Amino acid sequence: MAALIELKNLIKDYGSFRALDGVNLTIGEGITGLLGPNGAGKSTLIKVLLGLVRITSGEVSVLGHSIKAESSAIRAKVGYMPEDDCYMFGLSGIESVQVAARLSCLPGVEALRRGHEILDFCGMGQERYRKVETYSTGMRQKLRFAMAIVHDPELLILDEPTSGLDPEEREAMLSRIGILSKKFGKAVILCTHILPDVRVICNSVAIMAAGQVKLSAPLENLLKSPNPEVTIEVADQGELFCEALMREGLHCEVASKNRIKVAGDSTMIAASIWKVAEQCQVAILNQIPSQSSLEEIFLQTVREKRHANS
Amino acid sequence: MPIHNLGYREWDGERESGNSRWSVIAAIGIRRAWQSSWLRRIAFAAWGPPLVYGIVIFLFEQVLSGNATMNPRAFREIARVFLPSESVPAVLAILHHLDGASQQELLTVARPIFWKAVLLQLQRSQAIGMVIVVGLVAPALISQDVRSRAFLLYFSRPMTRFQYILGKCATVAFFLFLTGTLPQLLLYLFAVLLSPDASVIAYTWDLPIRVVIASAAMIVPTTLLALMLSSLTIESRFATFGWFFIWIFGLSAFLMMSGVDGINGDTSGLVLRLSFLFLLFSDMSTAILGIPTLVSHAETQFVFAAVLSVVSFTVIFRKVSAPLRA
Repeated sequence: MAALIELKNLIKDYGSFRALDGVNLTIGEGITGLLGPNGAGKSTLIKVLLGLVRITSGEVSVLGHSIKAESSAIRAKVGYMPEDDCYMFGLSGIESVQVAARLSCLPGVEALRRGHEILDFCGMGQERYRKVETYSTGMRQKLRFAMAIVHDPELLILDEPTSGLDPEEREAMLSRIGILSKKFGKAVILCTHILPDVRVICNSVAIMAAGQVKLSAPLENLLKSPNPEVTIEVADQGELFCEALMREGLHCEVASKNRIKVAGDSTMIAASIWKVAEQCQVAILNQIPSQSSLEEIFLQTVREKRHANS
Repeated sequence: MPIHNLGYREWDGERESGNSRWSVIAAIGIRRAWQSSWLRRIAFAAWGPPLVYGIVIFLFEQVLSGNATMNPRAFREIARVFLPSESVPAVLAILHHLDGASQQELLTVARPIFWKAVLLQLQRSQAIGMVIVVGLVAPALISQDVRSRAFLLYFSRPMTRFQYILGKCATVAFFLFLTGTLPQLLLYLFAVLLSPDASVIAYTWDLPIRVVIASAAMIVPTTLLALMLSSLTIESRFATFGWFFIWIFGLSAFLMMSGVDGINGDTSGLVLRLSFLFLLFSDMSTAILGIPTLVSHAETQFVFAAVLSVVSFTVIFRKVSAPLRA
């Protein structure tokens, strides 16, 4: 995986307050979830990536550009969707997107055409001609997303893109982010508190706490349980099936009438399970590998930091 | 999905140079400000005075062309009417030296003074309109961006804070140019067109340049001061109040320090001329246009205007940067 963002021993101080404390992080292609409690330093990290604040020390490289010397070049290639309910007062939706495109150096008429194209993609209809002040929270959210992607950026930084959206719109927003990443190869940093969103679309996760990156790993690896087990659902004869598995040397127990928990990694024990099922003439309905909960991982990581501090 | 929805498509067109980003900011500001019907009325009304003053110059030139014995005494009477009070003695002294001079010498010296005096009168008559124009345009320019937290939308693009401020300044400057400088240039054009012959250009060719410089000397500090007030608040009405308060305060100080009879009292004090922006800009214009005057604090006034501009710019820059540092 090629590194698009590299942070080495990044420190950012606001006066005597250290907002980022020796951050080391590498972010590659795909969608990376940036998680952390309030005050963890996520917003400061985003501002650093955009070159909006000067770093105290360390090295930051975004899309091959050094943040110290080429912040303008970085911002030309990055699309940023702020968390704040911000908008350009007095403009309509299409004017806002057009201005965003013009500020990213798209020519005048092309900026307007592209603006309409992107608003179509974002599911915004005739309301694009209304003043932004009259928009609902969800519409402003969509508009900010449109402004972030109108110049076809290589990297998208999305700060809480689904907050304030109804379930249908949330799903649509996640779908759009997925399309941009999977179909068009955009790298995405998704900064959010909504962990189910991370589960749905992220490839990797970085968890921040107290100005440090405490955990950074592919989501798949992260969710692997430290004590793997497989829950098997069978049509009937659960107890009989469980006894047969134990005779094969597997550690298992009956969880309910037709559900058996088998200790071990699903790929390692799959052959034994199917062999026993055939011997016992038991129909397997489902195999569910155990996973760690992202919520648990998040809380554990954050609490570890708090304990260390206390 | 609507039939026109093509989904997301990559864009690989040619991008423009980034040097004109400030003009995008300026275009937004101008478009928004132009929605004010009051601003449109003032902009329209600003084109009236040049026509009136153009007729004055026309009559003056007609008198010159029809009266070969035009003498300094006649100029003196005209000077009393059109020149600012503090310039009258100096101009009269010049004209006094011209007693007995030839008509040609008289024209060489007195005609430019008269044209400059009329231009200065036009500038002075535009002052109220200018204050209102800035009061309508500037207060909302930055304060509404602070209120709607639009800075992150602007500065997450490859745009600098300087370009942002330049764009905002250009918005105010555009309307001041439209309602102030352009009518003055129009007056000059009228005056040339209405003059009996084109030789007037030889005497007055430098006036358009002086008008532009004098306008710039007024527009820069005015714009920065008004934008500074806008950057200090999220409520544009407070900035509007602050803007008009500065002018009303200056006028009050002028009236109190110069006596109840206003301009007939002693108005030559430097503090007075600095505290009332009208006098500050008027004196600067007098100096730039080259109108002789006995009251001269020009250097100090230019320095004051420069300091005012630098301080205002610094405040704006810090205020614009503040949300990003938070």
